[in-house]
Amino acid sequence: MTELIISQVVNGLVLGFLYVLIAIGLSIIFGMLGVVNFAHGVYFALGAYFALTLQNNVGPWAIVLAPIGVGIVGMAIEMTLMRPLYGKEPLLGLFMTFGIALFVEELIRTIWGAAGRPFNPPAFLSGFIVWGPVLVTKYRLFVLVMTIIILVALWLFLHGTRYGRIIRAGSRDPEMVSMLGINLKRVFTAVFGLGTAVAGIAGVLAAPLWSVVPSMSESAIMPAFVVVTIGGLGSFGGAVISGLLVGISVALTIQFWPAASTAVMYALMIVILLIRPRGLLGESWERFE
Amino acid sequence: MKPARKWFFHPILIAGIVFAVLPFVLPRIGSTTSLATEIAIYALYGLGFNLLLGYTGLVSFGASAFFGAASYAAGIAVLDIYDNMYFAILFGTVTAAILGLVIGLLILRRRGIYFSLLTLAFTQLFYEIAFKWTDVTGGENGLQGISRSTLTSPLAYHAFVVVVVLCGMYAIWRIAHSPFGRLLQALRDNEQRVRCLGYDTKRAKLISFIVSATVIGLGGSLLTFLIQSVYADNLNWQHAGDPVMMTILGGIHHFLGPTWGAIIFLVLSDQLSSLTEHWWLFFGAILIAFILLSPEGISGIWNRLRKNPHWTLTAEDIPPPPKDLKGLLDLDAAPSAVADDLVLTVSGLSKRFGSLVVADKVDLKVKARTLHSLIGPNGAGKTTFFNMLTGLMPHDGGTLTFCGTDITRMPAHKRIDAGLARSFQIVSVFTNLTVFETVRVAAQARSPYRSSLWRDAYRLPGVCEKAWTLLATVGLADRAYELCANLAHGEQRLLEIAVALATDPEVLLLDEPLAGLGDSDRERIGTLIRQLSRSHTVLLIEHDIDRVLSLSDRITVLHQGHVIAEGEPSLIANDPNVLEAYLGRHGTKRVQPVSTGGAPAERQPLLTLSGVDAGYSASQILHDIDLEVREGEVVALLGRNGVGKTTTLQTIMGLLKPTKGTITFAGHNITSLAPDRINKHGIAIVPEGRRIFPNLTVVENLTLAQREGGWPLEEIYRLFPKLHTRQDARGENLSGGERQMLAIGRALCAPQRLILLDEPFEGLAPSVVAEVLAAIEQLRNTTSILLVEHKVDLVLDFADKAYIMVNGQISYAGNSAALQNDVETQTRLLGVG
Repeated sequence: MTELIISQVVNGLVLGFLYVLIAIGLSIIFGMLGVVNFAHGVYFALGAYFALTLQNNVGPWAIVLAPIGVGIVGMAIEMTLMRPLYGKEPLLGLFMTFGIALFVEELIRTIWGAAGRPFNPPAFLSGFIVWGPVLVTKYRLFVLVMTIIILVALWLFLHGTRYGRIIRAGSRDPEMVSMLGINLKRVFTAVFGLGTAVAGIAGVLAAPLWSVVPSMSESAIMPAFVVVTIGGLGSFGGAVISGLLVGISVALTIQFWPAASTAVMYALMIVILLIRPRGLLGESWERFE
Repeated sequence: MKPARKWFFHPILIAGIVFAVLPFVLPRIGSTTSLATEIAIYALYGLGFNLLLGYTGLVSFGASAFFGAASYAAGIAVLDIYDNMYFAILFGTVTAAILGLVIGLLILRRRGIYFSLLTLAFTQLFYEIAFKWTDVTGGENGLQGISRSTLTSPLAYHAFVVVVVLCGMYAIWRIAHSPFGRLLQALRDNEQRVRCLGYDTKRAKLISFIVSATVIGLGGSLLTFLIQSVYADNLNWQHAGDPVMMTILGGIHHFLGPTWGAIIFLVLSDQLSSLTEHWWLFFGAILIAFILLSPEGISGIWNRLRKNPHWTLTAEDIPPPPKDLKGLLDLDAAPSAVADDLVLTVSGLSKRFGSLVVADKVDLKVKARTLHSLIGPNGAGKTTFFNMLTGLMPHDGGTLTFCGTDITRMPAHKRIDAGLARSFQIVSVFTNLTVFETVRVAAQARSPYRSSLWRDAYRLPGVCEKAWTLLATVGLADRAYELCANLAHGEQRLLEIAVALATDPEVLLLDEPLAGLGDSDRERIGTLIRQLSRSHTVLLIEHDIDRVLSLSDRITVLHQGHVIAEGEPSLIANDPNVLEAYLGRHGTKRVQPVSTGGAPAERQPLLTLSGVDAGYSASQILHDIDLEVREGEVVALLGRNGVGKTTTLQTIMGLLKPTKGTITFAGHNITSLAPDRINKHGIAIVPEGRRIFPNLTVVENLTLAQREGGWPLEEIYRLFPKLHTRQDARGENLSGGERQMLAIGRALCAPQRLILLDEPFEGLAPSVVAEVLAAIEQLRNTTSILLVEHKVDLVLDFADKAYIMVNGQISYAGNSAALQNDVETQTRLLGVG
């Protein structure tokens, strides 16, 4: 019994860290642009599909190039479709991301087909690792390590570099940022590119775990919403805690009450939001309340 | 419009004709009768959703939860409870209503984005339950074997659905025109204002949520008997998007928008899906195109063709004014006489925010039918005082007595019922309502039928007449048909007063009714306020001291949360305490001559504003501003509060685009550049309120702004040693003085030739003022400074030149030494009297 729980907790951690990765990108974009990006899941899916296609041409480099490609697509979309809506009715931005989500998901279906595509992890990552009673696939462990590395890198980027400072400052007072000589338009585009690229990374990493299907965008976007909301909008630490919380809850429910495995996170979100209106670590954020 | 024509264009009739024709048209293009029925059902679904979005302004992604839940309830009812279609439809609808009540109670406490995300979570939760709870819902297979015992032919069922849908649409049409529905539309534009009219907005939103759920549930139940089965799909989040999509396509702000949207959505998807399996591709593209090109959907395009930009959520016409329209002032119908001469007594009112005291045992007695003014320098706590009086903000101690009743613990909307009405400092009318409707909604707050969902709001006894009377009182009767958004600023101020009057107040609290107005408007509104004070008690906050002195019966002066003087205008004008509060240590002579780097005339002009007009959407704040800052100069921009000093700085910085005139800086025209470009030209700002980044540390705040050629960190720390010791503290944990130092330091981080300082001493303790002042003195050796301040004495000591602004114009320009000795000008333009 204990072994079972430990194994599921490890699985939950893997799932949780992937959720965190998707949620962080969503959170950064929300903080800067003030838009809840309904299309965030399709960038996740694009990451997986880009990797799938690139793998045939460039081999392992696909893992690096795919997220970059997703970031470029994200920036192009921001410049052409999102930018005209800044400063207008905020609802339009929300509806726009909704439209983009529908469009790109169908585009994926058109290009790559509706059926699932297998995506095998590299040979050196196949197989299991056994630690006493616990059994984990090597690839899951790899994902765990990678997501942690990326999250640490992202944290260092946000807290240790000038660009990171601009992003954090801009989430509170974009106008003041522009009065310090920083070109806001470019920052918005870069932030959108970064957020979508991170979703792309998550997509690449998740590809061998989940099957690569067009609907994977949906299975990413809803947990990401839940994680961001539970953690508190705009909070990095909150997203990490809530991502792991959600991941582990889901993994354990899969084991003990499979029927409720997806429902559990919504129930968790509703309960937490009713008790803590701004999520676990959400700060008061005047712009969005 | 003639009555017959009006009747013919009634949206319900139009919808009815369309629904009746559809089953005969659709088969000709390869569709079925049942698609027509589905369109009618979805039109109702979309309308129910739009009751929240378009009318109430709530973004819900939970519509499909009610639609799906009702479908299941209807299916389960007919299979397991009682095999009767009509009963099942009723059962489904009632289930949705109950769910609406429960969910609404839970989540309407959350606002904005959190509300929307919660609705989404509920939808998903319901979907998961429906999908997985196979015993009850049939899971993936859904509920099968539902059949219609009556109305078996498609056409018969279509007829039945159309009748039911039209009834539902008619109900919403009635609600939209009822006092309650009109209230929702006001609430959508400005919830706080509605609360200040005495409405319970929480209750209104809950009822709107329940009505929406009920109508959507009716649609869901009808669908069960159309497709004779129930699937979980309807609950999925993408189906939560269906009504969103229909509403965008058809037009959010139009009654029939969702109907047109349903037709486009269903017909197009039916047609496209027979052509290609990737029809969503087209659909996504169409949706994106609509959002970019026609955010008001099909209805928006239609309205543009008709050259009628109005929304059509309700019928457009307004009841005509009564034949002999008179204003309140002509009627001399004074409100109920108050037995006690004292209308309002405030004793020992206290309030603090952390260490900042905004009200310290404030006592105030206001007599009936007087014009009592409340004045004081910026930050004296005047607006906070109003907020406590009206119950918008809780206070820490003290009692409030109004007409003999203790109102200390009374909630905001009850105080308005009791007879306290206020206007707002920032114009807060209902942007998308007409002028008439704005006043009418306010007047309706006094009607016994104000919560009715069924009556015609325009036929409530007395309400429209009263609205017209109030409009005539403030002189806006001929603008009644205009949208509030299109009013000039002065007219919006007048409208504010009319709205405040509409609740039949005993006391009228007016918060800066003259702010941002030109002279003629000031005269007009000032006179109106004086006249009103004959029939009402008026408590006035205003910065236009000259008018306050000439209009008021009595004046109370607040300074840093204390009452420092009270009495008749003539007494106040000569009170030394008051003079000091406004001017600082007034009239002292310059101790030492200004150290100047060369004769002023020889210096090169750095910043030049010529003939600049600027303002916010409806209101022009700056009028023909000419201003010059030369190389190495310190220029003071003085003026009382609300005269446009900050607006001037914002215009220089590029936050506001001038509507006229040019701004040049160091030989470059910077008139319409973006703020970041202007900063790169060499203008830095220390803005009002400091605006440091609360989530960044001190070092981060500084390095964020750093550019080649700016001050290195060490020099900034030498200027403000305190910043060095606090360098790892987050911005939100700094004291006011530290924030100010940080804001100045931040401005120095990039190369600059001119610094704009907006009220750098505001809210600082005297010792900190000295420290900041010393730092600014040092800066003058390296950069030019344009300094906005209302404490004259602090500034004139070291400024080279001074401008004084009055009501958006430059009223004085000259040498600061000359101004310092010109006590008469100082007092006239800056002080009281």
